[in-house]
Amino acid sequence: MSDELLKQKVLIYDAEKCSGCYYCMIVCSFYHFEEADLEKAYLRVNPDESNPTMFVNAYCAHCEHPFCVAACPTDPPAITKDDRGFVSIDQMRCIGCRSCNYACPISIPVYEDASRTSNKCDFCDGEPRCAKYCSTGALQVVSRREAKEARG
Amino acid sequence: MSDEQLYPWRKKVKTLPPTFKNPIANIIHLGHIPKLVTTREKIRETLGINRKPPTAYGIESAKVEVQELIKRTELYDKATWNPTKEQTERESD
Repeated sequence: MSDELLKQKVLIYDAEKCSGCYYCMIVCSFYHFEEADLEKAYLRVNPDESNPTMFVNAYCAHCEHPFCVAACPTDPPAITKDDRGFVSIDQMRCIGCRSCNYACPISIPVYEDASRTSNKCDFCDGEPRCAKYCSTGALQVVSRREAKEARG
Repeated sequence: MSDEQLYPWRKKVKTLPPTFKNPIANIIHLGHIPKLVTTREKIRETLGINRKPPTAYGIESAKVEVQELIKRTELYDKATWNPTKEQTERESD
């Protein structure tokens, strides 16, 4: 993996620290939609079914080789990975075919009825609010290198 | 494919964590999250304005409106909070 890739920022989640307060979801929906609606957040905290005291966070990993980018049928593609490594959907180009929804292994892009397009985490243009406001530090922004080292 | 199959992680939030209970209780009873403490009332008085601000703190109809909004957003259910039970407990205390 090139140095450029390893320097890119990604989110990392520590389930041991998560208290399940939902602040990440609240701040995400407030930043993107200006309303505190948990259902609209681009990341999702769910109680861990195997362990009632723990939580699981499903969020976009801004993959090295994103399936959503590969699946996007529009030309030029509506989903792009920029120089900083952030994968985002251009709302003006998205045709709402849901290909990215199906292609993503954890279905992170979500189809929105109101706009008839898919949408997903855009990393808040480099400063993810979910990590910024995470009170326990369970969500953190680290480089891809650090994330790889932490995950082994 | 249904939405539940397509988005297995996007489960509906059924209940809010217990940390939300007190703020929600305050919104229901006061119309605001923070309580209006006496110190703040005194400061307002020294500034020559009403002890209570012209919000749900002092206007009963505004508080009723907030309570109606909470009912319609089904916040009671999400907080798994029974206002009638809580009211009875407060009175018994």
